[in-house]
Amino acid sequence: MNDATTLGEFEQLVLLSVLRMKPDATAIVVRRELNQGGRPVSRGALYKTLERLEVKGLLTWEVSESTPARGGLPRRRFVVTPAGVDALRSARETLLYFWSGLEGQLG
Amino acid sequence: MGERRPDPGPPRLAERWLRRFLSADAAGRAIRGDLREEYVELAARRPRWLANAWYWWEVLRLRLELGGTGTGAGMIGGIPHDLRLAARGLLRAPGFTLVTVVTLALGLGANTAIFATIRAVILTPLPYERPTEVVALRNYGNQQGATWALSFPQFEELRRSLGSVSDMAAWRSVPTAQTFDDGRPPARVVSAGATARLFPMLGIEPSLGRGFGPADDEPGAPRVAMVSYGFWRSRLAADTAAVGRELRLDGEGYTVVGVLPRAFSGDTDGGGVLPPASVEVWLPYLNSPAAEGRALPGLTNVNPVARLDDGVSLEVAQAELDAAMVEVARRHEALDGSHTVYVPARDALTAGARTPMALLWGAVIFVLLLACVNAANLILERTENRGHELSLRRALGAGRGRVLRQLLSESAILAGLGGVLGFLLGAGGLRAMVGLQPDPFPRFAETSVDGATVAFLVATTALVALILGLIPVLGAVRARVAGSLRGAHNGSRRLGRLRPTLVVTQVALATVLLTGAGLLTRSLDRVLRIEPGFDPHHVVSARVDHPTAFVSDNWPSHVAFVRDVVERLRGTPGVAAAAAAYQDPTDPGWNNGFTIVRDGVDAPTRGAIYRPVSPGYFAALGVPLLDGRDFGADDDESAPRVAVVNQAFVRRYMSQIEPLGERLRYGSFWGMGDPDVEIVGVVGDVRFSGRDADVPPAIYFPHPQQPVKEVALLVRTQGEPTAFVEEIRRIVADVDPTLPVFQITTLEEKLVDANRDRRFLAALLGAFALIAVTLAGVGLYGVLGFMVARRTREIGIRVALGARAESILGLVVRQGVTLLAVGVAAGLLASLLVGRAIRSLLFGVSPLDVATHLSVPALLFMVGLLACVVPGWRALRVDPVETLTEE
Repeated sequence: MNDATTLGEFEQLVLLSVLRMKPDATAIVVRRELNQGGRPVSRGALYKTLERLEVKGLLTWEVSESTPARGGLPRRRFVVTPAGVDALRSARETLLYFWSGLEGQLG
Repeated sequence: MGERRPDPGPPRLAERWLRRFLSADAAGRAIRGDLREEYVELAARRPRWLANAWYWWEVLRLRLELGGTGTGAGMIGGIPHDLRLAARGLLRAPGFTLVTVVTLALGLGANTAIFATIRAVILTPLPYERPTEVVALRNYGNQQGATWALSFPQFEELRRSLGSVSDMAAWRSVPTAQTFDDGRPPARVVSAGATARLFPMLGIEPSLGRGFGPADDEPGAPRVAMVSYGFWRSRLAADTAAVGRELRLDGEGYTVVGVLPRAFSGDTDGGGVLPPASVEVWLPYLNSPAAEGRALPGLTNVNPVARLDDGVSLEVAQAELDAAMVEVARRHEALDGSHTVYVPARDALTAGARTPMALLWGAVIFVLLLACVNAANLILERTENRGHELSLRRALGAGRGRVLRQLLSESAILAGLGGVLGFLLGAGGLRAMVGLQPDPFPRFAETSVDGATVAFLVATTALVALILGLIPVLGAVRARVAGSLRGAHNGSRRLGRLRPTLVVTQVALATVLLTGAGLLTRSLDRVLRIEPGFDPHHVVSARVDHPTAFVSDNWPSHVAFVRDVVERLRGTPGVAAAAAAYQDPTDPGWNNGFTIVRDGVDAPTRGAIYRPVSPGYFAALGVPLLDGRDFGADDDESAPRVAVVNQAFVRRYMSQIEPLGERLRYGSFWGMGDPDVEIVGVVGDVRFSGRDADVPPAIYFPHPQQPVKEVALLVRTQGEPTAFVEEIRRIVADVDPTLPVFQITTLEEKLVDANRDRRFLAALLGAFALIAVTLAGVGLYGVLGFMVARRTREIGIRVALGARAESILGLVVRQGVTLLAVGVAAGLLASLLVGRAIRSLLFGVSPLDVATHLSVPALLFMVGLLACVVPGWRALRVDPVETLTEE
């Protein structure tokens, strides 16, 4: 696993939120999900993270239909790429490895 | 959504702002859509103003968080992020980064050094109040380019009569000897006489004490002096109590009354027209040695400086001066054919430096262009190699703006590093230039890298960054994602066409620079080939100065002193010959007026260079005697007055008559009556005004008949001349221990020094041309190497089909030669224009000089063919099997 696909904690949360909201994972929806999950995030920080994940090839997006409320501006639906799914799996495995055997101490 | 408000829409201004800093692609538009959607939702539930405030707030936060760069820039990440990314990318390609940065640094450094020079020499204002009003008065003669000062009576007359100048003053510098009571050896001091108004007129206030008042400049007033800031620091220990102290100059006591400000100090000699900042002690003119002989009308040795009246144009003032000079010429003798003109102070100082400065600036701009083109080529190559990476990034969703911003960031880093290194190179180069040649131009020694120079460097660097950033952009923007992803180089075909164009430009620029350097070098060579008219080898020149008062009161003993010293020198082992002269043969000297007796009483006053020399001078210096006789020991103060003239004198004034026996009426320097002078000999022309200048008419006098207070001792040695310096000092001290010996040098050095501006220009331009040729060679090498890499497959097929080595090599060389030929042709056309522009700097060489215009292309072709060697060799090594099975 190289650097590009090592995930930061917040990146994991964003990818997971995208997966959870599938197939309606727009930026607005993902941000609400993160807020609800107890990780409020500013608009700019979210867009930056989405961009970074995109550059890493873990996330991509497609343009979906606009709505009147959007004044004809496009809507992006984010999709986790297979590489993104791999990265999430690997992050999970790493976490599980380090958690394992600590149940006694951490409850 | 209520029917009353079908689409409330966010505040227009905020939306426009948002649009400005987000990219125009789908990603940027989607972000705007997100904000709008949320705004509409909010506006449906809450008051409109609250929704508007919320929208503004969100836009502002987004702006701060994204840190976009405005118009069309990428959407996310901000500049620091881009720069970090770019820096990382550059670190991964250290070779590319190093070569590009060094290339840019050469261009930027050269520009920094030359800009600093131009600033010091041309742009820095003179240290006067309202300097544009200050003018100097000069006499231009009928001799080409010769100028000289006015006589004191002429100055007085003009000062009284001119209405278009608000003030007028004059100065004259003379070397004096400062003697000390404590037994220290005497020191030479450059002193000058100034009329009382000089410093007030220029607006120069003393930094300590007072300036001269009218009372100081009355005959018989107590002797006072003002000293320069440098003199006050070095000789008076920067003592504030120095005012009131007494200086002894040429045996006279002067009370220091003031110290000139620091701004008026330095090496600047004022172009010989403005009051020189190098003068150490200023004395009121009438009470100074400078005033000696001032009543003589033919003695044109004061330099008038005036301030034009408010609003008076130079033309109007000149018209009035012309009229006044008619009157002056009627009452006081004026040299035949001379014309007195106002020279603006700035012109007096910088006129000679302007063309060289413009040339140097043009040259460094060319070097910078070349450097930019080279860097652009390197960047293009890198963009080519990264075509796949960039396409991939775009395919993965990186917006076009995003990719552009990263490319711009790279060029900004490259240019920035180039600027920093260029600053160091420029500052170092400047120091080297000043060290190489301290004074090719006035004020050059004062050159330093100041704030304005740094600002210039920063602005130039920014411009370079922008240009370099735009070049890959030309290709990157158009790179078709799909095409590049297929692995072909479709998207970069445009870049492929751009590169040969760049190389042609480089070759053309190098041709122009090389031609300019070639023309100047050939001019220098022509100048150096001209015989100076005397034999400069193994001759030491050292000046000795007798106090003025001593000379005027003790003419015979001064003559005896010089004779004694010369005799002793001749008697010293190792000396081949020795003589004395008012000026050594490399010193231009000055014009004095005389009339030819046979022309009658109303004869026009002629001008000739005035040169008293000791008997034996011509033989010692190797100046050929062409007719008549040399001066002998009998031509002393009691003998009939005689003179020897040069060939230029005969050509100008006596081409129709036999000069020997002709009589000249010449105002005697010391006012001891003016018996006519008989021409007894004709000698060869000595080029005292420089080897590249016309030889002016000159009259030599035997020193005993025209004693001058200061002489140059000229000693031709059998061995190394510099080893003889101490011997000269010892001999002078033996005869008179109170006299300082100064300006000790060899005539060979003086000759070299005489062409310092030519040498300096040729050397600098040569260096720039060398950089240019190297850069052009590297550029050509790069583009040919690129071509071979691109056509590997084709070459492989050709080899497989049996193409011979020559034809493969020919493929590469043909392309190289084509680029060279086009570039050289364009460069030669451009250099015709450049040659015309620098015509005034050339000597004995036409701007169309055939040798230069043939050798420059030859040199470039040689360098160009060298640049073909490696790519050609690579092409020969293409393995057909490997290349054909590769894909």
